[in-house]
Amino acid sequence: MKLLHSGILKKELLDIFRDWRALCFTAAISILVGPIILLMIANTLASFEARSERRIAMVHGIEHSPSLRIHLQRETATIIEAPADFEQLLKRMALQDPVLIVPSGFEEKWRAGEPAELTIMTNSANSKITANTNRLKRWLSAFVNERSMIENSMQVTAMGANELVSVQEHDISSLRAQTSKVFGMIPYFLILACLYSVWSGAVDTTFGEKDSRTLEILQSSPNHMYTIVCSKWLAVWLVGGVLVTIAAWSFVPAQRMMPGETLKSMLAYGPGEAFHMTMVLLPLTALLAGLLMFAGSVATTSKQAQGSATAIMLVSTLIPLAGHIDPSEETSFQSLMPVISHHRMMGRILEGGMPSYLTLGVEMLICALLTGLLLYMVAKRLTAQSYRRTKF
Amino acid sequence: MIKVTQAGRQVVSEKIPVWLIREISTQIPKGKIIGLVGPNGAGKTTLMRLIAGLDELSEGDISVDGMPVRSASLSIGYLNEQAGLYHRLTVRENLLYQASLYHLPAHKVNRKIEELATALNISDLLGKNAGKLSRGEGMKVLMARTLLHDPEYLLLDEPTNGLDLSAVINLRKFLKNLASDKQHGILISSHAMHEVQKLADYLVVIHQGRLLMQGTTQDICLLTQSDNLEAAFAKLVYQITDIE
Repeated sequence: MKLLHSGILKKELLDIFRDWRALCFTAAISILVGPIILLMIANTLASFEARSERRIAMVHGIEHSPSLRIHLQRETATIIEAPADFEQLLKRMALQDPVLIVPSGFEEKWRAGEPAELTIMTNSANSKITANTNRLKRWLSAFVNERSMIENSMQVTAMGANELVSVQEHDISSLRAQTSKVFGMIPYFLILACLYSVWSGAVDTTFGEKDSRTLEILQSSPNHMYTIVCSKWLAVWLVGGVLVTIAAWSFVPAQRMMPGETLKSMLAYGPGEAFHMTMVLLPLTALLAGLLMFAGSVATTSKQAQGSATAIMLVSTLIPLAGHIDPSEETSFQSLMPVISHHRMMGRILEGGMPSYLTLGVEMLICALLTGLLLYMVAKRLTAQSYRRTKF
Repeated sequence: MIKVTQAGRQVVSEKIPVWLIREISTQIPKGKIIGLVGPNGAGKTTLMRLIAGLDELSEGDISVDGMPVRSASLSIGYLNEQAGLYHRLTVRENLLYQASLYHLPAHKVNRKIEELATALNISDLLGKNAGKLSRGEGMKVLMARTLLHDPEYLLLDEPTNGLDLSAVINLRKFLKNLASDKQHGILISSHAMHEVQKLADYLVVIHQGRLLMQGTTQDICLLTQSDNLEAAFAKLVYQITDIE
């Protein structure tokens, strides 16, 4: 028995390319969606980053407190005089920074030990202002602490003997958390790319034959059904493989187009990473093509075919979440279970590590065995007897 | 010769075993046209699928020139009126695909396609997308596809459905030539009695999965004491004795 039939392979490829609308849709989903969404989120994060780096103190009446001016300058803040109509501007959300109001006689009252008041005028409805308000509060808090300690030390100890401890807090944890979340999405996008790249082809080559009533010509031909199925699968995998390869490589320019040096440096994705991703994804694409072909072969109506394909897509994209319950611990199930193990390998590549050839080899072997089994089951389903049974 | 001996097929429908056809015995010799007649649901298509090797026999035996049907796919061409074409391919590509499935040598294929296209009057359709064909045109292309690998036996399930009169006349001529000149054995099923009467050398009448009668048109008319095949069929199947 031959494993491949060149005529069937050629026809299936022709059929896939003739359905150019479906192919374009598939290609767009597989190749473009991941990088585009990544860039969109990266842009948003970059604006967070830019905002977190924005050290502006908008003050009304800074001339009333020279010591506050010195403190803010020491904090490397750029002091900007608030516009006269700052209240209206804040209401209209036209300002990105809160306004610190220093009343006249503030410094004198402070020095005399009388209660002195500073006002921060902000607009909590404006989410962009919140981070900047918190930063201004931190500066003021540090200013108050510093002044209090100076006043106290002048009373108790000699000047200069007291070392002011300034704790600088540079909060990048939230940014890192957000960026890791974003980059953690790449394996999901790539698994989706694997699924989308083979979805329509796989279902079309199996259920499509039943639907268009062309299965009989295959059944009555002198070819073994396994040969027919393998040839169909190869066509689906070839197209899917090309799309997945492009999808894996499309993150290279996407990484270069990302705004913000911090983000760029946090995502190391070059040709080496893209190559290893491709090596991980091609066997997975082969397996998913087989799985979707099986779903198509079992279905008796187009709704069933769509439903089972959707279920496979949903499970395949969500199953890696199982590995997130305890990311530190990797059970043998997780390291052998396709999709989960692929997801983990991709995660490792993104962290800068590369999967060993042994790991890749084991995964390829598992995918090959499972694909072979699935294709055998597809062939069984598509043989005359199975088809006949499903009709009744 | 195709020999059908006590053929039966049982399927399970809603958990109840049902015999689609049972105890059917007949023969399809080379060079003859056999008409398979029966009302809707009589089991004509089931019998054809069994002979084509598409379904498995539950009982009995079918042989093609002494070989089991499974090994005789090259000798049989099966045309089902509901069969489809690959809509995204042109007619020529559909035929080339069929040729590749039967491993026909490349140098012969194009000549064979032109030959069939001329005979079936579909030369103009070869470059047309199969999805844009009318029902009648599609049937002619299906016929060409069935004949492409030059099978010795043809199983034609309602081949005249959807064809206009001139196409039916052409097809009739074409099939008669195939049987007489090329010695093809042809089994043709149809609802149209007059059509079968004009084509068939021998008739097989089945009803509710059972063989009712078989013989020449004259034999059947004589045995049922009818003037024509339609009347004989009405008597046999529906027990109607007076047809206006």
